[in-house]
Amino acid sequence: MTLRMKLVAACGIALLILGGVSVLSYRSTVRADEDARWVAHTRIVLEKLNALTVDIISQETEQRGYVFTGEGSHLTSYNQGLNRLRSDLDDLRNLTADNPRQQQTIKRLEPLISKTVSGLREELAAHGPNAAQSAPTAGHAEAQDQAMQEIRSVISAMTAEEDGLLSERTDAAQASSRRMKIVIILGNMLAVLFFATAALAIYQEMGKRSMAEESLRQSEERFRLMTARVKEYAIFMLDPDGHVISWNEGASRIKGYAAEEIIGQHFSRFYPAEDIAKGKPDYELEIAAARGQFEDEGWRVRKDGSRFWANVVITALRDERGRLRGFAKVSRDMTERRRADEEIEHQNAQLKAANKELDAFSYSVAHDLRAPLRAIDGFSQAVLEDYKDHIPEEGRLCLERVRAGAVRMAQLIDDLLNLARISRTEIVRSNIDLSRLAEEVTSQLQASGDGRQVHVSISPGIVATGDRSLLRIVLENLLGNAWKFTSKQPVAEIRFGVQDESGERVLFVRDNGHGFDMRYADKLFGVFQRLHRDSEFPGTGVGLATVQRIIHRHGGRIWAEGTVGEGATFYFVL
Amino acid sequence: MTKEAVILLVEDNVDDEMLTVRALKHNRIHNEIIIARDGVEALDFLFAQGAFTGRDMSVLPQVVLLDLKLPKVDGLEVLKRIRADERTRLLPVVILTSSNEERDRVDSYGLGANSYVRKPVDFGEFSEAVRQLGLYWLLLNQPAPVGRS
Repeated sequence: MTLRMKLVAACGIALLILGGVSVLSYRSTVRADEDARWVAHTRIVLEKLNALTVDIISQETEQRGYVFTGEGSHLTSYNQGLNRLRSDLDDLRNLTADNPRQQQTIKRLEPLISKTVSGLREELAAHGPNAAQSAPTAGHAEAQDQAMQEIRSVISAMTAEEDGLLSERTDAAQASSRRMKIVIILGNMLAVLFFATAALAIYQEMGKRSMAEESLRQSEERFRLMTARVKEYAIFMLDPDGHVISWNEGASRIKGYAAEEIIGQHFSRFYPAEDIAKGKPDYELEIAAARGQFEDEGWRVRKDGSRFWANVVITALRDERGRLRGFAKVSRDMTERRRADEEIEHQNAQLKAANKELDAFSYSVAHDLRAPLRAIDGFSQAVLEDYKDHIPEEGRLCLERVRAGAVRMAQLIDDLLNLARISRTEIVRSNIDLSRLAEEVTSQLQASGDGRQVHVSISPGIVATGDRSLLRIVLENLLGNAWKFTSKQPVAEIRFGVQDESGERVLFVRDNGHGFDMRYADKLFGVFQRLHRDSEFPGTGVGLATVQRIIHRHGGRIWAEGTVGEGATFYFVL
Repeated sequence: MTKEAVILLVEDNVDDEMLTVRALKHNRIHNEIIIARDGVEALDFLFAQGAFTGRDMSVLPQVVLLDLKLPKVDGLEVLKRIRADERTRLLPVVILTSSNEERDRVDSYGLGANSYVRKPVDFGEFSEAVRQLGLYWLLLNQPAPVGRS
């Protein structure tokens, strides 16, 4: 149950109690009024009864006075008294209409009074001045007294009845008044209790809120301290409409505004005019509000009007109820990086152009450098054929050397072009069975027709990942070299295998050929570097350079060990 | 018929032209050799236009020996036009070039070259290549085939 609901419930209950007490006290007041009325009513009835008694006695007195004095005034009073008696009785009857017992009693009273009155009238008729002068008879007087006696007793019974009613009604009124007092006191106490509870709850909640506010203030302070000194990033906050409400050092550094001159300003001033015209600032806030975050890279404007390339992240800030409270904006000055990127792009373009040029150059070399060589060779041959009778033996040998030079140069060009091509072609990797590839290369060498018997042993199942055609060139060169450099051995042996060197799989091609001096091992892989005279072992000096380049392009290494006269081993890792 | 079988040699390099002719003669191939020094000349001859206007179009060379690197219109473009025209669509074209670039080979075959031969620098090899080409493309039309060697 939320605090709000609790408060509503407590106050509601208190108000209900107060309402109930009010209703009860109203009703109690109404009842008290009634009780008072009844008490008054009873008093009136009592007075009437009293008056009736007095009137009867007075009738008797007037009648006696007239009988004894014969004065007319007594008669007049007597007659008036008769009327009063009747009206007294009527009044009583009306007054006690609510009380059937009193009505019964009145019914008994009526004949008694009538009897008394008629007795008095008889006596008057017998002894009145207009009648015979005689004393009232003793018997008659006795009867009269008895009747009066009865009347008095009936009236006193009625009086007693009314007295009882009076005390009863007074008691009831007092009791209800007492109850009412208790109800009012208890009700008010309860209401006060509930109100007090509600007040306490409010007080506690206020305490909690102020604590929460304090912790929020502290957290904001920590955030401010954390961001204030950040210089690489502009970190600032916007209100929901986009006005700056906080500003860190990075923002001052990057955008050029001091905190006091920018706080309260709209953030659109950081955008170039054309972006403002397009509504970009508001659009970015909309997106951030809708998606939670917006990221952008683009030009922004410093205070001095200069532009910088910014990476911007706008994050919408919402409270726990999801209401938008503002935005956090983090910007980074990417101008330098963008410049660097552009520089790289530019260099890439240049490199591409250079590569293209190199391509064209290689093509041209392949085409155009070979044509003159063909001419040199072809026409030397033509001279040898057409004028063979005119050329002395020495001249013939010279022309043969010219031809050999041309062919060798063609070979050099081809090797160089291959080397260049290897650097340019893309590596297409797949799983290659190198053992099988080595066997293919070996059969080619055997078919090359020098008729030599070379013992080649190839370890089976050597598999590697790499570019098939390039790895073939590697094996062609290494096995070809081994073949070539064992040409002077009586028993030529070549071995292609694999060995484990501290967890690394090292492939090798070993021969028992001419070998090389380890002092010159570093020259083995250089372009055009040769450790042997061409007359001993022909070659262009490009083969191992090509091999090394292929291995390097596969991310591997290659090295060699050798001893003059005992052979050489080329190791490589792919 | 045989005497009319001509060879169209499209070659801009005079040295290569002389060597090719020499190799043909050397191998006793005595068919008439038409020389075109660039792509335009080759196309003019084939389609009897330009300098060759009025030439009998029904006489087509037995084979075209086509260099790739040519002035004005290069060899690949010439090949493309030969293949695009109904009259020359089936004409045998042999690319005879210095280049052994993969790209050139792929492009040539892609455009419908019948053969691709790289000119060897060694004249002996060159001569042998020309001999084989001559035998294959020229004698294939002979009623009594000599066969390939």
